[in-house]
Parts: sequence; C-alpha cells; structure tokens
Amino acid sequence: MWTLIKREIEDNYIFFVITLLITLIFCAIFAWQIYYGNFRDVLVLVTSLWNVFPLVLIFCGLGAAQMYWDRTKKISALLATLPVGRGQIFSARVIAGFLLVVTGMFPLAAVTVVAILTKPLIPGSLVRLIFPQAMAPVFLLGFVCYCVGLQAGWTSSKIVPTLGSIVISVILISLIAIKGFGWESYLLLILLISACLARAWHTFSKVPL
Amino acid sequence: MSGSKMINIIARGFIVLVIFSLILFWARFRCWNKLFSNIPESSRILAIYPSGLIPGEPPPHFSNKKGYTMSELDPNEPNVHFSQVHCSLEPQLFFNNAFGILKTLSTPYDINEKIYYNNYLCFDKRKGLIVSRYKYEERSDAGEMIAKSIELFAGPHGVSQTPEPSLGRFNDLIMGDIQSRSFWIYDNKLRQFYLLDFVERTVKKGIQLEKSNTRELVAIEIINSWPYYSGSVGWISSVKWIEKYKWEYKEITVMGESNEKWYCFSQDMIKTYAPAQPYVSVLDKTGQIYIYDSNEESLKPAGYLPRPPSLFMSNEPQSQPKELLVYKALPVYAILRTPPDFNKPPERVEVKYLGMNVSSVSREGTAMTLAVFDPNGKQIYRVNTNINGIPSAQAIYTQPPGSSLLTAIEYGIESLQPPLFELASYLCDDIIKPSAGYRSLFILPNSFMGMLGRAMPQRFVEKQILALLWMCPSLILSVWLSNKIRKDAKLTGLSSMAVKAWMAGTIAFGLPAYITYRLTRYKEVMITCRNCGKLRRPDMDTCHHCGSKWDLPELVAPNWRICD
Repeated sequence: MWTLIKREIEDNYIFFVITLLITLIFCAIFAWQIYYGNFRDVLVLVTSLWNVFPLVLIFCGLGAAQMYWDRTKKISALLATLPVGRGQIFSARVIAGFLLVVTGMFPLAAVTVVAILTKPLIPGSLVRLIFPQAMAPVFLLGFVCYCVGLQAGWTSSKIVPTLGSIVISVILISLIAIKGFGWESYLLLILLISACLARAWHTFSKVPL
Repeated sequence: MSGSKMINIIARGFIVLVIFSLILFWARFRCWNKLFSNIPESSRILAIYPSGLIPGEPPPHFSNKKGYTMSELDPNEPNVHFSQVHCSLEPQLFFNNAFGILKTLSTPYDINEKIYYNNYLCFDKRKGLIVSRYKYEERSDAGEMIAKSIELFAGPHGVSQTPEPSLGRFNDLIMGDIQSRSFWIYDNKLRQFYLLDFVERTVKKGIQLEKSNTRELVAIEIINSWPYYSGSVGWISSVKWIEKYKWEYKEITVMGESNEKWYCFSQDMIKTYAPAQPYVSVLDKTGQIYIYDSNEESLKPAGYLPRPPSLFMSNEPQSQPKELLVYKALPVYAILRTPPDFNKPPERVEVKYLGMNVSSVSREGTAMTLAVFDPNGKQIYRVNTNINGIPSAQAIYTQPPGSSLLTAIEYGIESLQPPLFELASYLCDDIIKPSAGYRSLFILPNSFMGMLGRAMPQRFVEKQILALLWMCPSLILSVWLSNKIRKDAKLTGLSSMAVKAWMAGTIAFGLPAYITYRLTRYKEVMITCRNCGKLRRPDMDTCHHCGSKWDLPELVAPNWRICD
C-alpha cells in the first residue's frame, strides 16, 4: 500500500511542490503580519485563512490529473497485472490526495496555533472555539474539491476535467461563504465528500481496465 | 437495481442537488438584493419626534423621513430641540444575513446562539465561568507605565484569578451588550439575576424568579445583533436629542420631583454617566419586555416587541423574538446627579425610568416597526415602514420601478426549487432562525411559500388552497418531467418498479431529480430486436419490449397450407 501511495506522490510531485510553495508564502506573509503588522483582532486572523483558495484549485487539479492520466495512460490496467486490487489503487490515490490537502493546510494551521499561543490576545477557551471552527471547514472544502477533481478527471477530454472541476469548485467555495463556519457547513461538506468518493469509486470499479 | 448502482444514483443526486441549490441561491440573492435596493430611502427610516418619552415635550409627529446627522442639522426645524426616536432599515442588513461567513467573522457574540464573547470577555461553557481578560497600565517604581494583562474568572459565588471550583457554575446564561466591566447577567437554570463587577471583583445576587413563574428570559439589554453585523451599516435604532448641538444627554425637569435638574439619557449612553444604574431591561420568550428594578427587586412589564406587517397581513400586535430578524429596545432614563458636572465623579446618582422605544424588523427584512412605550408599559405610539402609503412588506414587490418584474423572476426561481422543499418551506414555520433564513439552500423560510406558511393561522382552508395554487408551477414542472422520465425509462428498459421510483423521486425533487436521471441513465447504443423490431438493450437477456431472448427459435413450417 505504501508503495502505491509513494508512486501516486511521485507521479504527481509537481502538485505537492506547488502546494508547499504557495503555503510557505502564505505562512510567511501571515507570520509577518502577526508579529510586525497591524494584527490586533483575532477575527482578522481568521480571515487570513481564506487565502487558501488558490490551494483549493490545486487540490481539485490533483484529483482530475490522477483520474485523467489513469484513463489515458492505462495506469490501473498496468497495476492490475500486479497483485494489487482496484480498492488498493483507489485508496492509495485518495490517501495521496488527503496528504496533499494536509500539506497545504498543516503549515497554516501550525502558524496559526503558534501565533495564538505566543500572542495572547484572547482567553484560552476562545482559541479552542475559533481555531477548529475556522480550519475544519476550509480543510473539508479542500478535500471536497479534490474529490470533485476525481470525478471530473474520468474522461478522455482535457477540457471537461479542467473547466468542469474549476467551475464546480468555485460554486462549492461559495458554500462556505453562504453557510459560514457552522455545523451546517461541516455536515454538507462531509456528505459531499462521501457522495463524491462513492461516485468516483463506482465509476472506477465498474469501468473495464 | 443493484445496491452499488443505487448508491451511485443517490450520491450523484445529492451532488446535483447541492450544486443546483447553490446556483438557485445566487439567482435568488441577485433578485432580493435588487428588490431591497429599490426601496426608496425615505421609506427605510422611521421617526417619531418629539419622542413622547420626555416630560414637557409636545405630542409627536410621525414621519418616514431621512435621518439626519449633526452636520445636516437644520436649526429652523421646529422640532429640532426635542427628543427624536428613529430607526433605519438598510439593504446591507439583507446582505449581511445572506452570508454566514460575514456573520462568523464580524459577530463577537450571538444571543440566540448563546455564545458570548468579544475580544476580552466570554462565557466558558465547559467551566461554567465568565472569563474576562483585559489589559491595563501600571506605573513602575521608575515611573514608567507598564502594560499588563489580567485574566479573571467569575462564577455565582465570586470572582477569582484562577478558575476555582468554589466559584460555582453558571449554566444557561444570558448576558447583555457588554461594554463595561460591570454588568447584569441572568441564569435561566438558576432563575437568578447577578451583577458582575470585574473592577471591584464582586458578584452581587439580584432577584430570583419563582419556580412557578413560567417566564423564560431570552435577552438582557435587548438587542439581538451586534452593531458590526447589523448596526451602523444595516439597522439603527436610537433616541437622539440635539438641544444646543449636544447629542449626549438632555436637561429636563421631571414632573412631580424637586426642582433639581435632571438629565435624560438613552440606554446606550447611560453607562457612561450613571455606572450604578438600577434598571435592566429584559425580554422573555413571548416577546414581553420587563424592566428589572434592582432597588425594589421587582420585574415590571415595560412593553413588547411590535410585530411588523408581513406580506400576508397579520393583526397581532406582539411578536416573539424568534419571529424577528432584528430587534432592539432602548429604555430612556432621567438622572439626577450630584454634582451635576459630568466630568467629576458622582456623589449621588438617582435614576428614573421614563419609558422605552422598541424597533423590530420582520424576519423577511421587508418591514420595520417602531413603537414607544410609557413607563407603565403601555404603547403610546407606533409606526410602520411603507412605500406610497402601502405597507412596505407588500409594496416592495410592486411599488418601486422594476420590482414587479423582479418579483416574477423571484417567483420563477422559487418554482424551480424541488416541490418537497417548497412544501417543507410551507410547513417549517419558525424552525429556521430568521437570521438563517436568507442563507437557506434547501428549505426557504423567506420564500413566498414560507411566508404563506407562517400567515393566516385562523383561515386554514383558504391558506391550504392558496398554498396549492402557489405551488402549481413547481408541481406542473415536476409532473411534466416525471412523465418525460417515464417515457424514456420505458424505452431504455427500466423495470416498472424503477420507473415508479424515478417518477416519485422526480415529483418530489423536481429538476435536480431529472438532471440526475439524465446523468445516470443507460447510455450504450441499443440494438434492434429481431422479434419486435424495437430498440433493445444489449446488456439484457431478454428484450424489454417483447420479452424474447437473443436466440430466437427457428421458424418451423406449419402443418397446414392455404389452398385455393
């Protein structure tokens, strides 16, 4: 399984590199603003998390790329000749996507935690309230977009996965703008992830390799 | 139909439904935004001046008028020296409510959600304590000012620097609009008022309501939304007096009192001048407002939340808090202070309650009412927003230029919503909070069906017929689509059970169900059946039209012949 995950990461290393680069730039700007800028309000701090939207499109791109290359280059057909099941191939793919989302979100989360701990602007109980409230839906949104990419990529056309997944991602991003950081966002995003994964797995498992 | 295929259809259907609902949300948003922007500015502001609350002033005029600022003050206006009660409804109120992200980012606390916090003060539900963290400056031995911060914890039994168990626990807590570090709170579970003072580090118990008393209080210092959220840019309610170009307070003579000079304040200013104010306004679940007098340890009726007119008119004068988008009650007080110089610390402060003004905005955000109550809680004046003399809740759809077309478009968009959700909007009543109404994706409490559902409880039959008529376009579309599915499903060889399921699903979920069907229907090329000549599916053993198998039996010549 680890070999499969490693192969997925190696095949799509460019997505990981770009994600890491963008995240580090955001983190640097973010940290500078906290320690040297005019960051006084913790709520403004939360808004900075919305800088991650370009990342969301990269996550979507990875999902689409994984499925697109699989279909056009017959990667799964090749792997199926080895003692590997479709379930393992699909799981490895999804885990790689999950790791990409973590790569994008974790440094930002870490910087936010450090900032909150080292700049005691607010009571400790609030940190617990605000931090997961803001980060969790953004993380889930990133993963939803990756799952949307998985579905959009399962075609031999290049335009559909690119434009289709971008349009759907933009529409889905507005979900958080509308619903905010409440439980409704969590519920909808988790249901969307489940639905997208179920769809992607159904497509992947039924199509002859 | 196999289990995995069923899951695939449900999964795809859900994705389609969410994306479809998001697209409809933006279309509705565009329409509503335009409808709200079309309301003339003069119809958005209500004013009563003189307010009727200040002793010695003449009876008031009622007006839909443009609000004024200091710079716009006209000294020739005859009523300019009298107190004015006014409130203003701005389109941004709708905008702010339509986006949950704005609410999360700009609302330090929400009384309805019972989460209370601002930069330095919050209620820690886990500990059951109110936490106050604030910065202060202290002079060092070297004479330099050093910034320090302190965190204090308050429970029913006291205030401490550490969260000790001996402080006790607050439970179902209601706090007001906390601006100072001394304020009143009420615990619904303990049914007890407390006066918290983080400066003196004391907790003073107030009145405890009796168990038999069914009143459940929902707010202290009644305002249900934070000014960032709906105040200066969305909705304002205030009492102003501009005598001698001063906004802060008004010098008056209180009838029946001594000849000493009293000063008049609205609630939002009184804390500055009378820190030990004895009155607290509280609101209960039914919309009744009380004044809690901490000197007399009594709770007296002071007014109620007025019900703004709705599209389907209701005659009830009072509204419950859960039925209103925003509301605010502003008591007015007279203060007798010794010495009268407000720059000096007071030796004696006497406070007298003069009455209050209460404003409320309907849950759809289309109407606003302003009412004035005397000190005994009797309503003395009341005005509603209107456009060309018609209540704004109705006029907004027809009166401003272009609004009829926008209303038609809005209705068309709402009719694309699945009939099941339309029905749910009709039945949901007040389950969805007013502030969440504009953010709803599936069940739409602010749609025409939602408004109808909340209206006319006394005319049951008429209401049901009207609802059915209102749903007609949506139902007709669903039935038409389900019929299309039936015809197509028969051609593609779906079982009669599956056809029925798709038809029922389409009648319930409308267009999203139809899109899901089109996306999941059988797409392979079909083959002509050798027996019946119709198109049949290559993946099925028998023709779904005539039931013949792939291998037809050879034609056997009959034993009979036709002879001339």
